[in-house]
Amino acid sequence: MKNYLFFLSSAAILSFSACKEEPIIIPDPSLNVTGRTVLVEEVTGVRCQNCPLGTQTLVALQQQYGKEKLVVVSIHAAGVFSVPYPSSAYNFSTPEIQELANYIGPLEGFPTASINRRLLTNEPSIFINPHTRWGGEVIQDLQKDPSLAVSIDNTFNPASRALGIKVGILPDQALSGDYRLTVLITQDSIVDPQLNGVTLVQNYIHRHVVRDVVSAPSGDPINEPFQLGIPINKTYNVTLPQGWEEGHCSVVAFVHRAGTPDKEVLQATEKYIIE
Amino acid sequence: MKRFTLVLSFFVTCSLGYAQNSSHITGSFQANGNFFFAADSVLGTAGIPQYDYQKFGAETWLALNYSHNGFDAGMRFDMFNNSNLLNPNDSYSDVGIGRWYVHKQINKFDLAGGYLYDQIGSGIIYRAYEERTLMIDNALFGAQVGYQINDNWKVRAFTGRQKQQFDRYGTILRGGVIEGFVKPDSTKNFSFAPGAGIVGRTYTDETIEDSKFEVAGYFPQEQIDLQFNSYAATLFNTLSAGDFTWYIEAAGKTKDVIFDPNAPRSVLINNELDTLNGKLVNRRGYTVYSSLAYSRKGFGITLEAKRTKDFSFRQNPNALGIQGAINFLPPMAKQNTYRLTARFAPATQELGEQSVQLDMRYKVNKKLSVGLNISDIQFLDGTELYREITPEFTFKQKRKWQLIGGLQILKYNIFVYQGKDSYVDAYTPYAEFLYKFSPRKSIRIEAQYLATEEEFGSWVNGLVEVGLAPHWIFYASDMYKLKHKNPEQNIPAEKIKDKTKYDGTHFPSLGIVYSHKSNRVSLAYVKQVEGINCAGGICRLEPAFHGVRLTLNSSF
Repeated sequence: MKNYLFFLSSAAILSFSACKEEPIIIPDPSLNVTGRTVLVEEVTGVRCQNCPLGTQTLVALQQQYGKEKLVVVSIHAAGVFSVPYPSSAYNFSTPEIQELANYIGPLEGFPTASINRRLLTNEPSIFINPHTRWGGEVIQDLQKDPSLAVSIDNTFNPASRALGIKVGILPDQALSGDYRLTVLITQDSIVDPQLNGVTLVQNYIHRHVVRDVVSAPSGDPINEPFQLGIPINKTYNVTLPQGWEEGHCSVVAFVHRAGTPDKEVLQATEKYIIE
Repeated sequence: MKRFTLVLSFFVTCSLGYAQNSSHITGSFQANGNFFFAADSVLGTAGIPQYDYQKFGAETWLALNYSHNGFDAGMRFDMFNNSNLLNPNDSYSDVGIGRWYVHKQINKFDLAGGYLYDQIGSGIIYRAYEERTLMIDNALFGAQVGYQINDNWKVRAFTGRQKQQFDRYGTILRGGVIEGFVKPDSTKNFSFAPGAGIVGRTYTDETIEDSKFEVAGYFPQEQIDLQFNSYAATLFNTLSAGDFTWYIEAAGKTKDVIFDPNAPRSVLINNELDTLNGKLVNRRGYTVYSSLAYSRKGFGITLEAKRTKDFSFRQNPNALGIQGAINFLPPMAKQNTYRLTARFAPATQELGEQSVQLDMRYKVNKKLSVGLNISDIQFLDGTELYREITPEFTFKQKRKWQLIGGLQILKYNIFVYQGKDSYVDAYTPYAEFLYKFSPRKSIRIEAQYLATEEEFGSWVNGLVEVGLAPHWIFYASDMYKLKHKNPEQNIPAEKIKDKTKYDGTHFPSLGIVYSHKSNRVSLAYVKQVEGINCAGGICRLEPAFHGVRLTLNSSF
């Protein structure tokens, strides 16, 4: 009996006594940044009271790392939270845009965002929240090497509003597997109502709003082989609808895997329609 | 292959053992089938795959337990097909062995392995349990050793990882507890049941890596230290003295990296310094909970109090909502059962909450008894979160009929609990009448009227239930949204669409229940408004339901 007790006591003490840990060093995020551009796809809604917090977080992150390193798009696909108000001039949520969000992963709780469409361990969805996590994931991806480069060349005719988009993909290494190209048009700084906390802000400035999915919402398959230094070019032609302020519109293009659940974005880029 | 071997071994063991006299096989079976009707943008079901195109979802649990001479083993088959339990807005499908365990008592030792349910004290530092309505199943996959020191004292220790659907969290847990029972004088009704427990948790490398980079993005002066390990310890005791029972538990937690949605964080927006709320913090925490009950013939009173500060104890700092909890903080509000009195339920606030609850019942005479429940929950700064005052009476006319009546007076911080507007002030009178035509035939009628100007406004609900014992129950109910009077004058234009969207809408239910011995089958047509679904203070906001539900429960 005494032996058992001695054994149990010793085990208990050993289990909990080794409390002292080596200090954990917090990294400097400005070091080791590579040529990779990170894509954040935020899902938001005009009736989502906490969504402005998410947008502010992303605006701050873009300021911290630069727009060339961090591409942000806001997908209005938060179900009932994305239903426009009677005073709304715009409906940012279309079936195509909802399909884009559904393709990325299941949604629960808003705002939510995917960081390079990366599925984290023990997470049920590629979309993660709360918004404060996004910065940490962005930094980690900024430190990974890109395996390809993506470029955009836009030609816009203000009279006809015809927009020609040429997307160039330049592999930095040979890649095998299924890859897709997704191309979006976003519009920045749209003034329209948004719930912020308990206040409906009539002249809220909506940022990085996805207005059109130019490719298929799940991306267009890239059938050409990915070989080191061999460019792959894709072209799209669309007409920019009247009322979309072309000076605030951008084309966003990114290459991503086509698996389930592996849809990781390899590289992204953004370019204004009018530079 | 491993699972097949496991199943085979289980049944071989069982069949060999079943030949012995003292062997028992018990089990339970539960199946739910949901047939979803067409998506409805007013109800908010559009965009949910089950309504849009899947149309059917099901969940099944089949558990078998075997026991023989101090040896126990069991396993449970779980299946989810297009289920809306995990995420009410999405579809979840998976199938497999949801649980298995083996347990053997050898003299004074108790040995167990597999997926284990357990708790320390009232669960404040550790509770591994299952709550199917919310898809909580955080059994510990690990090993447990218990030792009976003497007739009054026992100790146990455990280690493992908690279950996450058919997978496991990476976080390692270990813990121990000692529990006793002391009765100084066997002739008197006076005893203590003291205990103490401790749980250690080690975050995974991935959790720390993610946290490191998250903290790296903070301004230097706002960065925090991180550590892998945190410990929670508790002391608890139940004192029984005559008609009094007093339970007290005090728990503390060492520094722990947790997410505080209200902690300010500086950011640069358009080159100007701004503040956002929500960041990781590294804090110590505590919870003190006490319950004092007095009971004698015809009179009972229970007074509870709880104070919690920074007592989030989870698998990782970003595991929010109903998943990933290691502990369980006792709820401090009445468990309401009527549809409208249960409409506004408070979720436990693990980062800071102070609350009291009084529950009293007095039997005036053989026919009449009265009760009163008062609960009050606040943030630590005194912000009101929840206040409920419910006086109630029960009148019994022999065994022929019974009438229950009451009034719920409620103040509910719907901004904190559900993210809508600010406060709901509601008055809900309710009544339930039960009449027995004969010992086997009865009718039960209940009615509630929820009067409020907030959220969607006022509701009425009525239910008629006919019981033909011992097998059949038929019921029909309707929850009806009363129309706002002159909404254009009384509601701001921007809120009219939200506040009046259910005006004049019926939410009926129609069901049949058949019971035979320990088997129960029910079939119901249900149209249910969006609302909060809680179990023991753990809550989540759920969308409306419209469809047919088939459930089967059986135990053997």
